Amino acid sequence: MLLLMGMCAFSLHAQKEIKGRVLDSETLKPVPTVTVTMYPVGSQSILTYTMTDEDGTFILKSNDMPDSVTVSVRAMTIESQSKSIKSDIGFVEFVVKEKAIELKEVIVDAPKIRQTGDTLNYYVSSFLDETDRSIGDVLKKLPGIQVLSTGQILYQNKEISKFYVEGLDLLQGKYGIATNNIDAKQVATVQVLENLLYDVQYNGILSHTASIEYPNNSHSLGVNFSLGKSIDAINSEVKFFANYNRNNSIVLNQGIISDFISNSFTISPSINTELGHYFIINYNASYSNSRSEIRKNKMPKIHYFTQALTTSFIPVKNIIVLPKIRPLVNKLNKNG
Amino acid sequence: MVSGQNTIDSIKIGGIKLKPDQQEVLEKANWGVYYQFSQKATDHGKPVIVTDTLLLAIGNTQSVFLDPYYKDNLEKARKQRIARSLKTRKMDPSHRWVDEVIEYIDATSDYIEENNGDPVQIYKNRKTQTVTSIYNAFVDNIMCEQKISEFNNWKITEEIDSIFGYLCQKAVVSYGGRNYTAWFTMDIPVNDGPWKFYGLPGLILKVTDNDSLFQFLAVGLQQYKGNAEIVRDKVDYEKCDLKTFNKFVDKERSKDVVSFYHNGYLYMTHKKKSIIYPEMEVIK
Repeated sequence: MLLLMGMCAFSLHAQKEIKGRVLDSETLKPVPTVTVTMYPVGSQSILTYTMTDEDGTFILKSNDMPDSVTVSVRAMTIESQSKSIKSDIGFVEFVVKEKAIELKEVIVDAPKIRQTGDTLNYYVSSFLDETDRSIGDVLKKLPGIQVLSTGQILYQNKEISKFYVEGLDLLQGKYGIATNNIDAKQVATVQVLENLLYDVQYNGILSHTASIEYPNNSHSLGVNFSLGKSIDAINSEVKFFANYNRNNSIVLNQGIISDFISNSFTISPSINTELGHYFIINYNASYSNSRSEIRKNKMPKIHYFTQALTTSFIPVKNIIVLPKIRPLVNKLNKNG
Repeated sequence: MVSGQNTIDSIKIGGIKLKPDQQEVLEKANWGVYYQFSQKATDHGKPVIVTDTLLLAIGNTQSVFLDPYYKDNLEKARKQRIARSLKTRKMDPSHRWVDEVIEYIDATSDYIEENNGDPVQIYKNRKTQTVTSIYNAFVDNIMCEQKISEFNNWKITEEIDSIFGYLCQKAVVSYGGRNYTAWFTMDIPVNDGPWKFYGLPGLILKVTDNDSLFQFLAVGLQQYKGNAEIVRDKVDYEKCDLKTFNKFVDKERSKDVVSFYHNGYLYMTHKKKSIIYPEMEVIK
């Protein structure tokens, strides 16, 4: 008796399986990738689930299958169907009608803002109303942005430093004109650039050129300057060129970097000058990227923007060279 | 509504190529599910949350998960580059690019940083249960095929919730060294989900990892009226394993193309991003 009970209990909890097939009612062809789910009768908790194969068949396996179960078949392309069956039935077949499932659409309002890294993109069309005339009207609605009546723009309560139109700083601070006059419908995106690197880093040192008079025929000049974060981009060899511009003729000398520590450079170009002339000095930095880095990753055929890499440069424009030699500065000042 | 859907009669979802003869049509797309993807990254060591809106386009047996703006952004960046370099050459009006780039000709700012969005596109085939990650670049294209056995081991719990009106059930799984909690709905009977996730008897509308580094949350649902297709670039793909693929993508994702227009020359280089993204798959 005990043994019998034990066997009963064993058979109750043994792994059972139900095989089945899903066919199309019109063509009687098998329907693949249908979701098949099994519940205890009258319950919503899923016992097990599977998907039909290419030939429309499925196997539902469970360690704990009650005597009767509900099997339901669902897919995007068929009308869903459920059958309540005894779990020892072994095989169950569903003949289903083809029907594209109707779902309630949810208005996609998410892509209004897209943020990656420092740049926040606002898609203007998703904020645009009929009544909006100027871009200022739209800007007012963007989260984080305030527009004053003067046309001044605040982003997170700080006045913006630049207003670019198509990437150009056309209006240089008088952008209020633009805020109130650019047609909102002509604008696709508004970008908020935080920490615009090159502007921040090079402000001051790039704004004008210096004229320097050298007293001697040959002169050595030491220049220290920091390029800020811009250079941490490139783990590559860096060369500096100095352009000496005198009476529209250009002499090109090559500067040498003697130090490359934490983005700060010391260059010591050796300059041969003629006595008593004025020079405008521009420094350019160029990078020759050997692409060796990319080659290292064991996929030799893979590279990215090949052409761009072979000719990649960052110009450092018109760095003012402030000579440390006092008599020279005095002389400059005297000359006005 | 979404850029990339250039014409009403044909929306091509996937790849980076624009011409039909460079695309391989895999299947018609029936539904588009938009997910907001948030991840906890660090910027200059400070924690930031980066959010993106990504699209899962679902067909009868296949799907693709991608950044719907990526293709357009790439194309726009390309045209801008051409426009700027043409301008620097005192553009010859007979140049073959002129018509295409005319709208960008004035875009000659001193500095442009290209940030085109998420480059990885994930294709799933429900028939073969394969997940194919693709990274298309202009020169080479790499691909990683996976059969993710971990997704056979979802544990469905009794907990329920509602995500934009759909009744969802909770399920948990471990994959790639992380533990995930997903919410799926039986009302959308598609064995699919955001990113690589699949393996549940209904569409996954929300996924979070237990360290709260990532979250995918469905925010929109759109029906395509027979006019959308899942496509893939018809190119030679270099196949590699997941580790190599992720390493490559991380490397590419860690830098932006930056360009200057200066003294009549267009300069281009890469700039390292200050932002560091968490790894979704921790592979030993």
